[in-house]
Amino acid sequence: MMAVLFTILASALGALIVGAILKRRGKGLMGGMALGAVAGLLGSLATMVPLQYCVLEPENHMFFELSVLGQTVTVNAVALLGILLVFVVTWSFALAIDRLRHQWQARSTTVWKADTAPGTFVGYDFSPWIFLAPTLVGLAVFTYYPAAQNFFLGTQLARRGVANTAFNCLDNFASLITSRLQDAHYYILSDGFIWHAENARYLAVFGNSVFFSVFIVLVANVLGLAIALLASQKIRGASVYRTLMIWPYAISGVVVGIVFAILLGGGGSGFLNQVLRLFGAEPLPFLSDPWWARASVVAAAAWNKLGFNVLIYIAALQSVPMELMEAASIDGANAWKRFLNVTIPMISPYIFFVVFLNLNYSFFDLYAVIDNLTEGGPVNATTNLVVDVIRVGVESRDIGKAAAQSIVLFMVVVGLTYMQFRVMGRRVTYGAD
Amino acid sequence: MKRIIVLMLVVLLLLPSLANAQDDDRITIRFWHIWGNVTWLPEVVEPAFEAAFPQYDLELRVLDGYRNAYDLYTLAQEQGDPPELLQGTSSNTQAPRDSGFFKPLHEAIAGRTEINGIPVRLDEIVGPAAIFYQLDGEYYELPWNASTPIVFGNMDLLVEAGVAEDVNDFAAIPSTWAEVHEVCAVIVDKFDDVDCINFGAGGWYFENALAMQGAFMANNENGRGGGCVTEVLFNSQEAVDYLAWHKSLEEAGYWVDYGRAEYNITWADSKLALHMTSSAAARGRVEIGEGNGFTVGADRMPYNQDVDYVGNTVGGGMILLTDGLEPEVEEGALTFLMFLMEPENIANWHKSTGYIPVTQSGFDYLEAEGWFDENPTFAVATNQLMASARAPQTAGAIFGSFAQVYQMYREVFQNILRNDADIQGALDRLKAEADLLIEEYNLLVPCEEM
Repeated sequence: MMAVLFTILASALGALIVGAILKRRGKGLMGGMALGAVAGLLGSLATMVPLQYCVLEPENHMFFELSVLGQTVTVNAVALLGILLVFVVTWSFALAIDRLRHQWQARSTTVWKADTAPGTFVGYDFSPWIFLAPTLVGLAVFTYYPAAQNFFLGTQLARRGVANTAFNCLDNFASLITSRLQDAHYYILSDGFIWHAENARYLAVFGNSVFFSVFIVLVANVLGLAIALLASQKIRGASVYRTLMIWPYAISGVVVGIVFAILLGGGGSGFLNQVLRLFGAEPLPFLSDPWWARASVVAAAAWNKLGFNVLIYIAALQSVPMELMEAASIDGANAWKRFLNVTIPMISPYIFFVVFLNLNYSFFDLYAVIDNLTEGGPVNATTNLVVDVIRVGVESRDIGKAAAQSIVLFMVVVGLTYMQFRVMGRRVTYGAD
Repeated sequence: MKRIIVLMLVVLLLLPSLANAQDDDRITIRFWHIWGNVTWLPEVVEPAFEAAFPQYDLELRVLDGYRNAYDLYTLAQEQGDPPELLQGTSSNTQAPRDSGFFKPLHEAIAGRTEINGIPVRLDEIVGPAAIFYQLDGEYYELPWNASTPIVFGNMDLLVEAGVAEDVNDFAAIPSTWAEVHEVCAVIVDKFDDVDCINFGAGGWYFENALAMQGAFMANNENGRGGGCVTEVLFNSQEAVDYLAWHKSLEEAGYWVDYGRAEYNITWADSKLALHMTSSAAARGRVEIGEGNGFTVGADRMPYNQDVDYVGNTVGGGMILLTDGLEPEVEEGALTFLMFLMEPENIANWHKSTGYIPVTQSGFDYLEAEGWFDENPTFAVATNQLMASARAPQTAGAIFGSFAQVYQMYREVFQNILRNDADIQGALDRLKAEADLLIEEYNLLVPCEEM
């Protein structure tokens, strides 16, 4: 009964929202409402049938506290996630149906002229599918099936090495918000906080990932570009310097972690602290203080990536046409202005490329560095999303929760990639065209 | 010429398969273990076993840590080709038992007193190890690398600080919580660049601290009193007291936390006076001391002087026997396990590492050699365990999500030590989270099946 009500409600809400949006855009209200209703119906069925309408069950115990403008409410995290999920899937269905409708309309109004449309198959032909089949089969078996399996696993109570599994709704996801206990508390514009969270373990881990990504990208790129500028000077033995600077790139994360652990070790042993002591200074808690430890990870990772960035930036700088620089000089631009207004725009595709790769690295590939440098500590200060997935899934063998975490990671990466192409793609200058 | 080269290449290619053909009648016993740093196994045990039992081909594979080993083993099981023997760890006892991958040792032995002519020595397992490894009076796995936390001391530093009279004065190493404070005050006062004590903020010091004070880790007598564990008892007064002591050491600047492997460098540089760690590190500690010109002493794990001492608990590993083997393969695997329990092998294993001799005959062998008199550092662990009460508290807790809970308390303890966390509150939270994990595990593996 609840399930039927829920489906009807989703359809009605879909109809109202999509109808209103399309009407504002000057399209027909009825068409929009029909589209919304169908999307709502499909969206709720596509999410709730596999989930067996579990988000509606009242015995769910995953709650968190939310304070907005001083008002505190207790939120059922599972229900909240369920509604969000239905919303997102419905939205995707609406977009997809709308696009299909447009294509269908375009198709029915276009007169196909096979001889004037190069690159299109005449009529409906199966041959493209045959050519694509090997790749598609490979993708299906090795990428899509495991990915789908991962989504399934995210809804299971499952342990590595235990044959039994049990369906547990969206609890694995909800536990990321509630910290598994009912005492995670989020504040928005209340209790003197603009934004604050208490006992929100996963949010802190998420924050670490963001912190590492921002600072590693920043440090590795600013330093990389600066070194590339220096290394591009025409001096004797430049190629030797360049090779030496690029060399850290060839070192694996494990070795980087160990080398920095020896360099930065706390207590009496770290090389840097030994040097500090020689000069009569107090040793610094490079690895045992949360902020120092985070900075140490950034330093190690940025150092590791620096060589690669320098390499790309040296190539980028060599691609900047001398005529442009000369023209700018004649127009009275000083070195800084030439750098800012000529060099940077000219190398922006390279910057985009490097930032994208660095960002991917800081999100996905930091495990070896962190594991060997800080082991995610102290007190999780350097535990990022990937370290946590491995800790939960491999060390704790709790593969259901690890699957849920990896889906979050997947969504973050999809979002990041999308944003990067949208935001940065517009500002990047690819040559003359 | 070309033909000759081609012919030679073909012969070269065929040679390994010919060699294999020769070995075909031998039964392969694969043993995955984590003792990569112990050369005694491949250099002494393997040839000795194969010489004594030419029908078997022992294949040792070294893996990086218990976690990795069990993970790869699970994979091998999923692929249908697991090794015959696997080394497992104490914090991960119940989960492998529930996995159905392994055959209980007592079932494989089936009451026999000897296997392939080697005596079964399970009834010789020394008391503290016996209660730890047994469940309902039976051995599910072979007890092997057992250890207990002890404190190693850099005796030269202790003498220089005036704490010890000479380098053989092991009694100067603090053995109560209060003594640790007293000795550390002297050390920190005497030296500018020497840390007093280091030990992990992790699990088994906590487990031992509870056992020493007679407290349980989990309900149903640590899961050994007939029923399964359904909740942990991490928020007891004894737990709070231990963490308060640990935190007081941290606040006074006596306890210093190091990163991975860093304590080895600090220890070698004589920048650390006391190091509490597994007794299995004895060989390594002592060798570093010998290599760097200082004497290494050892004494028991410090206990709470305000509470009656109950006993320490064993930690370490065991060897698990894969289920579903062909009878002759299982016989070979069992033969190797019994071979490891021979007094000479137990003694040599102890000497190469510091793990306690788990059988009485192994211990007697060492005593007869005068080993403990000559190497008092190696006697501390056995003495500590022999002085421990045989009680469920000292047997250690047993439940399926132990490894996961273990990870969890490492996190919580670090938080307590570094931040101004309220200890009781943090432990209450830890207990609640751990209880949820236990509940989830028991849902997947119902209690009566255990």
